[in-house]
Amino acid sequence: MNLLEIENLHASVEGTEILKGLSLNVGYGEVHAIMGPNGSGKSTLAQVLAGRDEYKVTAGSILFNGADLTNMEPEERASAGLFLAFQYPIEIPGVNNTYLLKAALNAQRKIRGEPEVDAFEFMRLIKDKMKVMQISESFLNRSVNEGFSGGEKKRNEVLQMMMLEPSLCVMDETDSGLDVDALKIVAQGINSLRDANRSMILVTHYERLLELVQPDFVHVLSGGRILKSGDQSLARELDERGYDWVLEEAKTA
Amino acid sequence: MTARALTDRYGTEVSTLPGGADAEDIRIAALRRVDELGLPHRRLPTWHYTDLTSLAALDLEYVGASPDQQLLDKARTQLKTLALDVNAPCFVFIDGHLTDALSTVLEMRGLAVATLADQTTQLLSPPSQDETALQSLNTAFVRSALLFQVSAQLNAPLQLVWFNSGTAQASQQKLRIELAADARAEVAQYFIDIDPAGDGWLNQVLEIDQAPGSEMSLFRLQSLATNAMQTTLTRATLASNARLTACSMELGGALVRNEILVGMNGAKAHADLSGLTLTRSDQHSDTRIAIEHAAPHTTSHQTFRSLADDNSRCVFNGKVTIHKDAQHIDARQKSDNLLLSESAEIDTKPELEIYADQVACSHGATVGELSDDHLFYLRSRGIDAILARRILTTAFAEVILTQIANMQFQAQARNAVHKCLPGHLDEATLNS
Repeated sequence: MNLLEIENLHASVEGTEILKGLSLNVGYGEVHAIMGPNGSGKSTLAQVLAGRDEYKVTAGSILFNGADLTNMEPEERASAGLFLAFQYPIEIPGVNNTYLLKAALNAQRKIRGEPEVDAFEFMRLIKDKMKVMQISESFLNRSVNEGFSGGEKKRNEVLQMMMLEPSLCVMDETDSGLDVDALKIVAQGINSLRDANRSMILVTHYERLLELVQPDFVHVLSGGRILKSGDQSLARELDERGYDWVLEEAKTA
Repeated sequence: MTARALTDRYGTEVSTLPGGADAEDIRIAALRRVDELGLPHRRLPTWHYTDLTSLAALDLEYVGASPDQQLLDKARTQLKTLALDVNAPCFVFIDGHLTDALSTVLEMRGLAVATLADQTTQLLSPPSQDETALQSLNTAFVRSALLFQVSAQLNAPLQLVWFNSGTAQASQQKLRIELAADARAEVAQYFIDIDPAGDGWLNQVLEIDQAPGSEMSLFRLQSLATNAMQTTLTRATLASNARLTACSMELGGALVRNEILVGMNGAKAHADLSGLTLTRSDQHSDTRIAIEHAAPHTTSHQTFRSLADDNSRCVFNGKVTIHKDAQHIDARQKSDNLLLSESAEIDTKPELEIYADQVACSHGATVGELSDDHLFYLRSRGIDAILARRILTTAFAEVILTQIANMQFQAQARNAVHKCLPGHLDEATLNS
């Protein structure tokens, strides 16, 4: 059994079908990169996995650890170990960062039957992770993402991911809008989470992240389906040649 | 209360109320005026969303008996839960009766307190042509009125607790607070129900008169039961350099009207008004603010928020008038509102009337729902939908709570608000 098994997935937003028969298996400990032209369905896949209401699964199946993901509420998916790092992290005025993280951590622990962490334990857990992500303590006491720069928001997403320790990390363009230094920090955070049981899906436009977080598999998503899969060399080739040749190849196949 | 009903019913009974023969004449005149005007209805321009005429049909007792021992005991028990300042004076009313047994009267430097019997003329005046029916009603039936004369900077807040017995009483309270030049006072008002299922109507008139350079801070926590009714008229006049801060928490009551009129009569006076209204079930809560900038260089800020759930309704009407010769005015007004259910209703109406030309005025009103994006973000982190809503509504309310400068009042307000918001916050999480 794989951690994630997507079979012939069809999904629509407001009546428009975006995913049109997507199949993807992600094994335990594997890192998969999903690349593809704009509008190909990459973000839709990420949102469908996280359980966004507006995205309706019309056919196909998604099994997560053998359980039907499509029947689960977003919070149940999170507690089951799925995490989505948002492409555009939301600003939530009035909700402080620490508060959100602690509430999330304890909500998940409660569902899993684990003891809740107190403020002291929480600070102990987060300290080293903040160092890796180069996030200062003052940052924790600000409202979630409010007034953060683009780079800070992305780093905050990765910090949340590190705290929640999901079994599947879905990252939707976590590298976009980052300068070289911020990209390195984000990659460091992601790499610190890699282990034999934790899997990742990296949705990205750019090969440069994949030089820092080396994927086991690279897929090209276009028109709501995976057209081509390969290893890291495919990402390099896409970086040099663009997507057209993959689309052509798929047409003639 | 049909035509002449009150005068016929209570014309002789008001003589039993304090103040003597002069007061009796004033009361009868006020009664007649109420009968003439009737209770406020929606055809009046400042009562567009709220109608009190249905109160006339209720079988309410306007001249009630003193609270019995049982009520006193219940009130005493509840008083302990309020976390009041035991080192500060506390005036406790049950319905319209000032209750000495529960009050803490402390000698304070710079404070003189008088009752209706001591200062009848200052607390009870003949009805004027421009006063409202509710003011006249107050004059007619008020039993316990208090005059606070503040001549220095008080070192502790004045606490006023008003219990509603829930025994179908219509009761009145009249307060007058006079601040001498450079005096400073903090006043906290609490409105509480003894019987969570009880009804009744509390009608309050509060007058604040601020001399130059004085500072007044007014805190109001109204957490009545869902059947009670409450109307308040606060009328403040500010001389030059006077500062007024008022924060209202409107959390309970079936029908609530909180009206604050502020006259900025002296140069450089400043008023800071804020409030939070939470309504549920069939509650109707109406806040009306009217600020008159009659002197130059005066400033006013209004920050109000409301959350309406179930079938409830919140009304906010904030009016700012800037007189012709009142130049260099800075008046800001913000009303933000959240609808928590599809059948709730929020009416917000900012109004500006400007007759001067050198003014900076702003107003903004928003009515919205909780953001799906915010909810999804929290849920995607493992927080269930109920807690996610709770976190977002709490955050919305916090904007007002954090404006309460007195930390004790702020804590009292936060406690009360947390009991009213939908869903539950995990205490361990809350205290992080």
